[in-house]
Amino acid sequence: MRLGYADRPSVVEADLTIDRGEVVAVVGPNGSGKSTLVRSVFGLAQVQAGSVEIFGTDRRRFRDWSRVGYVPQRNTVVGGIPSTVREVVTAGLVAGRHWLRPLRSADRARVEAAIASVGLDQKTGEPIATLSGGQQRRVLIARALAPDPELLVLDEPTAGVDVENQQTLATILGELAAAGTTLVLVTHEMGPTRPIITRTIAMRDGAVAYDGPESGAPDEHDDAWHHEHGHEPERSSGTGLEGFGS
Amino acid sequence: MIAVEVLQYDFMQRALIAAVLVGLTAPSVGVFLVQRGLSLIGDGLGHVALTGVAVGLVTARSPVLTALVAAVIGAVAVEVVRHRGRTGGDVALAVLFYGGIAGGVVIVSQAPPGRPANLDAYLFGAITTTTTSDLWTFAVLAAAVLLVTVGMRRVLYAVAIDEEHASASGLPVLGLNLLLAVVTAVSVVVAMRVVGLLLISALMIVPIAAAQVLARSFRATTVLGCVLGVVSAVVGVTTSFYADTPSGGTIVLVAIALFAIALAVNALRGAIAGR
Repeated sequence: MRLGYADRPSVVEADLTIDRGEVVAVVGPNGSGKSTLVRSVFGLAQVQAGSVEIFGTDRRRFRDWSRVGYVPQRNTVVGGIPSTVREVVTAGLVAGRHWLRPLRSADRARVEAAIASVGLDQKTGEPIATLSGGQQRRVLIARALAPDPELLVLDEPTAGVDVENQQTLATILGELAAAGTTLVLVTHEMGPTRPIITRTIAMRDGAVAYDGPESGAPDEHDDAWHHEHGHEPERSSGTGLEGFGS
Repeated sequence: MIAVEVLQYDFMQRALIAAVLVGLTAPSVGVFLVQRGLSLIGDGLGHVALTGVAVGLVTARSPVLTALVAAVIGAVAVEVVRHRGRTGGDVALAVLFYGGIAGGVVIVSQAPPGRPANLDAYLFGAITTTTTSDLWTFAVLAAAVLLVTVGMRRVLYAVAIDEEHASASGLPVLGLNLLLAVVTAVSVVVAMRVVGLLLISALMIVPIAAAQVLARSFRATTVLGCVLGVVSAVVGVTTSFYADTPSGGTIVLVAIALFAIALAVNALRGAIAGR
């Protein structure tokens, strides 16, 4: 498939499948196309050629968005009107459900469970603006977890988060992976999440430069890696069945 | 006792009902506009509505309906420009808004002789001239606005706090933003006769600005904002009756006073907590 944005020249070519239960790190320098790659799953980047499939369904026909959680890189929640942790996480329930359906007690229980799973059950009623950057990131993860997704995609979850909170995030993600959630992390620095990664996809100049087990992956800071480990990316014309999920 | 005296006059009864309708609906829309950083959009749509009013006055149609059509077209144009991208969008909006005022002033000057058309009532509000049929129109429009802002609050909230996440959750973000824009246009028209097109935005934004200083959640901000909106409108209309001041300006000054009080209360709360 070929991915890009209508108003920018950034183009990414890739042909890959992610299987259930994998914990995938998509790494690469800024502008390598790693964000574009995952954003295409959600229609946030244009698929210019080829196709994206989610759980075997073309994304244009895919409707069951409660099965896929997304944690965006930018936190836009803070800065406007105060929102409590509970309000933000409840907003996650809009995925794949009828708009006017009232919240049932089961929905509320799911919100509380999602908040508890990121360790913020003491902060449920607090305005999100009073939380630290790392805690706010955990709120956005809880929002993505509220519909109980099978696949969770996180764009730079540890960016701008201090080391201690990165460790907490890694623990939370490890618990999710152990529970069977498929994880896709876009990151320029794996940090404490490294031990839970089962597969690394390294992006460079809009193409996949490495795709394999974490143990064989080059260090993201090593500039010489693509000579040693990288194989020539396949420039797919995107006629095949690519995508995420299984 | 003051309230009882005011209610002896039919025109004041209608004025107060109109005030309550506007005080309630404007902040219920405004809360989403403030969250999205679009506090001035109501202002712009008020400008565009003026062209509609002028067309209505010149062609002897109901200015409320022609204003509604103009404001809705303006709202859709704004949202489409915003969606297309950032570059030039700001300038495009400015041109649209100034075009609205200029068009209104020029068109109304073409009113046929014998039917003098005056924009003042629409620019600054003339709540005491509200007729019973106006009131019914306002009530229907206000109900439509509340149906959307209350009934669809969860999806509107999800889009307002994070368009990217809402889009990734399968919500039609452009469609929902268009809906909010149209609802904004409708509440502009509802508020037109009460506070005037030049002050409409104030009733959408100022009560919410006051409420968010005091509240800790989005829900509390919305509820408190609507309460402050109704209080501003009712106190403003009543004051304007006794002080013989224009209703629109008086309502907005009351709202700003409430905002100042909210800031003072918050500062006091901080001082007490800090001790």
